[in-house]
Amino acid sequence: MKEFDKDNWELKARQLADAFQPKPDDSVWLNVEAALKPKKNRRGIFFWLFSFIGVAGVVCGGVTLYLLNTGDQYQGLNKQAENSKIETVVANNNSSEVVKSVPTVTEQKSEQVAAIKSTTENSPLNTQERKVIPSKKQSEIIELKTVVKNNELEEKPDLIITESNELNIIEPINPFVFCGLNFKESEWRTLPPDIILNKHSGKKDSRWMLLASVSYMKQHSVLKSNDTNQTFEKQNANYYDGSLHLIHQFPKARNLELSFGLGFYELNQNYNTRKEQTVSVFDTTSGNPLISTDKYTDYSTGSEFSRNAFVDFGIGIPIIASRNFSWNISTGIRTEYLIKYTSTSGGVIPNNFANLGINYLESISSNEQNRIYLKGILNTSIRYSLSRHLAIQSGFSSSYSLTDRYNKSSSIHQRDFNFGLNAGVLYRF
Amino acid sequence: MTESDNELVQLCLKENALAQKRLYELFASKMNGVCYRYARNGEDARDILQEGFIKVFTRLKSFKGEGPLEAWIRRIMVNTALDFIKARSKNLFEDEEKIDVKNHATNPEVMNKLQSEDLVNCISKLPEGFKAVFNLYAIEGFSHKEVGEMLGITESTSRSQYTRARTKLEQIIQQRFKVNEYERV
Repeated sequence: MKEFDKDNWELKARQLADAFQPKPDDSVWLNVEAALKPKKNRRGIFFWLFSFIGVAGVVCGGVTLYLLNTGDQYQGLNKQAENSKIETVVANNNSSEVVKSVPTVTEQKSEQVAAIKSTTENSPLNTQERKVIPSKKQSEIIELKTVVKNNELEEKPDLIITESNELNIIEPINPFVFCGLNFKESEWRTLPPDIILNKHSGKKDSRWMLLASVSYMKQHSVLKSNDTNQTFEKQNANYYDGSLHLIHQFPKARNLELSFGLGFYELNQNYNTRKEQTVSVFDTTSGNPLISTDKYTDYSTGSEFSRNAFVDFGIGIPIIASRNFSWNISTGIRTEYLIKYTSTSGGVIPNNFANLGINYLESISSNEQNRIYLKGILNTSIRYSLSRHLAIQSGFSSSYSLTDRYNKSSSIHQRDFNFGLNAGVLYRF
Repeated sequence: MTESDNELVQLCLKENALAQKRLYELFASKMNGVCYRYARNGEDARDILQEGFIKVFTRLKSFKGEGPLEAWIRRIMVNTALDFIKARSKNLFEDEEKIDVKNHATNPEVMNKLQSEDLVNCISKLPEGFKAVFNLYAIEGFSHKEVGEMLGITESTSRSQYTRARTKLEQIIQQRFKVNEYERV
């Protein structure tokens, strides 16, 4: 630091300048005081958010594994097969039972002989109930038939006898390993009920579905000006969307779906804009003007509204857990078109830097010339089939997007993180 | 740092609201004067002051007490003002007019009659780059090397810019006093 000469022009100027001490406006202290109030712990919010996602994932996965292990999808069919056995097979020999099944030719002849014998030997004839007391030979034949049928059922579980004596053959399924878990072939990749129904009715399976869904998410945005290198954060935007997706299930891989969707979303935000400022830290004793820099945050408030249209492509994996339930994981990419944008700035802290930032955003948005936009989406949901045609699904949505927004003179890079809930109705053609 | 300053700082570090207000009241007027010299108008000065005091309170723990508290706060204000100017205009010395540096001399009488408010008003009329160099060198007392480092220019550029800034300021002061003389007549 230079020494001042007492006769120096600068000395006089410095004395005059130092004497100028106007009292600042009262609002300055009010704003400083407001900015010094303890800030919300955003790390805490993120901790709970990710904990919630983790717990939700564990619950969804647990339910799916439980349903897989119960083997529900075969239980009903096995019971049906057992009932058929009971109806078809005559009970054991010594007890007198009513025969419900259609008798064989041999049985019919034996019965006729027995009936004639009983008519001649024990009149009057009982026409109300036809009791059959099987002979030793008959019992042996019936036992043999029972054994043969039981053996057939054990050897070929896919051969199922229905009430109409129609054999319904489910196509063979290979063992499958997913995420290190080796699912048994009978418990994995089984057919959902609608497809089974299709096979019964003899119709061709439809692999096309239409999904109408809505979602509500919270959005957190980080914006960086490419011109002034300033960073802003906008928090807790309310995001609503509605969309229509056409979904195609792969014929050879039923656990894979492709989707194409169109939709609209609105973003409504009463925000705190957080701006990171670099602070210079000084060593006042050594005269070194700058020993380090640090960052502090700066807040301002305002509101923002935008309406957008979007198109997306996705791929999904429905893990079929039971006859009715499946756990779906889907991911996709999305691009959008801005339809309407309005915003206001200002608020409790009319901070110059932050307001500059908001004005900058407004300028970019209202005179936007071009936008390069890409959003990655990850959804997980539970799907419940109500019937062959109808299913409902609900779950969690999350997305991460990168946007570069331009006007004639400036550009800004924006990153958005969304997390929320979705619900939809699915129609299979 | 005086003992009372030290106590005040310790209380502020404990987020004592009264101590924070006391510290603000103690230095607000002086720092407002500093901000006025770098700002284009009163509104800018208010914003710089506000930014500066937020920085003071959030960074107070980095103050080691080895020098006067006022000097430390003043440095924060000056740097805040420089950040403010840099954020607004990319090149501080882009549009500055050509000035004949030989033709300058402030009448000593004028300098004696000059009030502090007049000087600050005249400084505020300087272009951004001139204003920054003049304030840093003539008022804050930094060397040209330090001014160069702070503004991202060379030492010689700082030197030449200061000469031009001072010439320009003296012209503004002379012009202002001529107008005042005419007004009196």
